[in-house]
Amino acid sequence: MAKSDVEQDFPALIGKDYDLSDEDFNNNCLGFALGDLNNWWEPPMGQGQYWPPGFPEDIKVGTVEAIIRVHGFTVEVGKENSPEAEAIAIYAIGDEWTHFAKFSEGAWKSKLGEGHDASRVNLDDLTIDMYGEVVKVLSRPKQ
Amino acid sequence: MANTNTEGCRQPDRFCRWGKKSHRRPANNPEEDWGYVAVEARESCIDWSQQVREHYDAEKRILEKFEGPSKSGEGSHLRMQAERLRPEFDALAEQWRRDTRHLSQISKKITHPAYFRITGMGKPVIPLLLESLRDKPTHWFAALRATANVDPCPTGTNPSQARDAWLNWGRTQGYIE
Repeated sequence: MAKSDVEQDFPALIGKDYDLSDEDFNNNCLGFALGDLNNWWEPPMGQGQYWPPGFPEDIKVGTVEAIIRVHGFTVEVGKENSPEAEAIAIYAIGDEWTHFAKFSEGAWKSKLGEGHDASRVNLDDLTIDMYGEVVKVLSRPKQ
Repeated sequence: MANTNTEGCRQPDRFCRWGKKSHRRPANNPEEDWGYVAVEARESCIDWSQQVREHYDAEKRILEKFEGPSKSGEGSHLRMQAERLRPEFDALAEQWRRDTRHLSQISKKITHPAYFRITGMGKPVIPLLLESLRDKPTHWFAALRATANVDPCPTGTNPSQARDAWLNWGRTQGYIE
């Protein structure tokens, strides 16, 4: 899929300097944000999907926030400023998560569905009807 | 007199030999006539079944030429049915990809109307789903489970492993090369 295809769904990226990786249907934005490139993180567990044991099999923001916190992203930060450490932004519509972006090495990056991951994007670039808006940013303090 | 008309014949015309006249017709004796008709009918049946077999073999040869030898008669039959669905499948699959390619949840991707329509094509769409999974990997697993009514994926497989499991199953069934 070319940049032009991505920009059909994300018009805010038109004219921006960003990078696209190869497509990979093995992981989605949540797996990508948590550093697991081999699994599609979505309930229920099974059928090619992964969901960590011990968590409700739903797509509530509260449930996924608990999962993200378990991975060390425990500090809530504002979405307007660039985080000082690694961070994960949660996009949601109402009380259900729709998408995630990850901040690392000084830039936001995000896996777009089962396609590419886009690097050096802004959170607002990904704010489309399909994803809703950023409802929370959780940062992982440096060790 | 022997009955040589074709009114009772239910075979396609091109295979119908029930009414043909023979140069071996015996003398005007009813008993001999009936015996002769029975022999002629038997020969006609053999002739008809041979033509059906030749017709089937020709289709099989065409299929093998394009797709390689089939591993099962059912797989071969299903692949022939699938070819009739290919244009509609291709259009629906492209629409589905385009509309859902950036969704992060499979549970939402598979509720797209195009996905429902593909699933609704039933068993004959299986070879096309497997081809698509082989050539352009995407999440066809729900559609495959629904149409094939089996799940060859071991518990805990990721998408690549699920893809491998389905393709192996498809090859075993003769649905895909």
